[in-house]
Amino acid sequence: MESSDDEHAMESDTETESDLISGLPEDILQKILSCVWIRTVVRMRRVSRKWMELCESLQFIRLDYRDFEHWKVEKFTRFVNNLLLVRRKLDLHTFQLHWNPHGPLNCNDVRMWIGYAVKHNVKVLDVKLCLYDKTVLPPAIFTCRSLQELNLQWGNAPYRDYDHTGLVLPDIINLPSLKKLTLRDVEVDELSLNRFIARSPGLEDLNLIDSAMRLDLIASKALKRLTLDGFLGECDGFTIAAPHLIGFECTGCSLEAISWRDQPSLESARIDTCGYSFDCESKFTGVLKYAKKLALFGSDIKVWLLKRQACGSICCFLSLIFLLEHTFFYYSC
Amino acid sequence: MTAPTMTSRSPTSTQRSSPRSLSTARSTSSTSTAAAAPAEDLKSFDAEFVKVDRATLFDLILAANYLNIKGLLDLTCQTVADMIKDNTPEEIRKIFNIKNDFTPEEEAEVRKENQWAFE
Repeated sequence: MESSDDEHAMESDTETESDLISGLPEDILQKILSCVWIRTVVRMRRVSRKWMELCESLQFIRLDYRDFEHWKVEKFTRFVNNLLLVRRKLDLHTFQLHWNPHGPLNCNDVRMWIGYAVKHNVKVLDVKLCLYDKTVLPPAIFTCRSLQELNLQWGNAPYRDYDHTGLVLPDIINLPSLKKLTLRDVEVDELSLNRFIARSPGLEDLNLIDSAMRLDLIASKALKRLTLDGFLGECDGFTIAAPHLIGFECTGCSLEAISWRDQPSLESARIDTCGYSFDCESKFTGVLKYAKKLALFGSDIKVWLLKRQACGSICCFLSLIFLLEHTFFYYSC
Repeated sequence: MTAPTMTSRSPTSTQRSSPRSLSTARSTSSTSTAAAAPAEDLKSFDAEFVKVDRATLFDLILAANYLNIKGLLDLTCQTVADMIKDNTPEEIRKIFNIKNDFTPEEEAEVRKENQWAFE
């Protein structure tokens, strides 16, 4: 199927060199290939010698279960193994694997593929599984010096493990290039969080989904965006000391539990709390004063905003008296 | 307004497309950062913007790359990817006028290998 077929275009294509695409810079061709269905990419080895080289040097491996509908797990596994075997000996930028609940992968294969990615200095590792067979995550991931972005969502701890709800991080965490981290159902306590922060000076984006466990202090000078979406166990209260934070999202703990140190000036915040009363003076005013996007919901937000309105310190909240419990309130500049 | 100098296999087509790409790319990048424009309007603007002949499309890619306009580069690369879609190698060669420089034996070998490894 061709794009706009006007006469002039057809003429100019035959007048000048016909094959305009193969002459584009390699990094642009890799970018184009990263948007192409991977099953088509492997077929494109047959197009020409240049394209064979390009496909075998694929920088972005994206495997989504929806592109392999009706494939048995064994067939998919062979596909991925052969994809990695055919690949030329060079670094890999992205390894992305999103696998669905129906028909779990063999975790030995997943570990092999991750091992391949790590050995080839992967920058972006994004793996979503529904089931994993061990409690501890593969240690090799957490000492990968090239890793810039890590996203692991592997389901809860295996059923037979009664000591843990979430998956467990290995002891050694050293990711000097890490900029963005997303973990779901992984037990992240104070110690492991500090290991990430201490060894990843460029960590700007931190997203913990049903992972934050008994955190006391989140302190980072580099952190720009923080999401705490659900907690493991009770959330007793924690302090955030991140002076350069511009985005904050928090779901599942009471407003009173959140304290601020080295107050940042947030550009956007989304807070969905679950407390019932709010008696203390809020440190939130300063933090939210310049926010351009604000989404607040929960019953203790209503209590807090009614109190602040009396002092008139946030003039943009005008109709809060009419907020109902659990009503979503969205404000945007 | 002068176009930036950039290497191109086809100077004529570069000169033809650069002023359009520069001025529209500026409006695209400023529009995409403004919260005011509705998503549907932006989407149809984007779709119309890339309805050009292939030579212009590739020049837009080069311009976006050179000027480091991420939104435009993403859009144009996605457009080319959509042209590749799930076509067979023969169809892809036809769409982009790519010359098949394999010998028949070599191509048969690759075809067999693909069938064994990836089908």
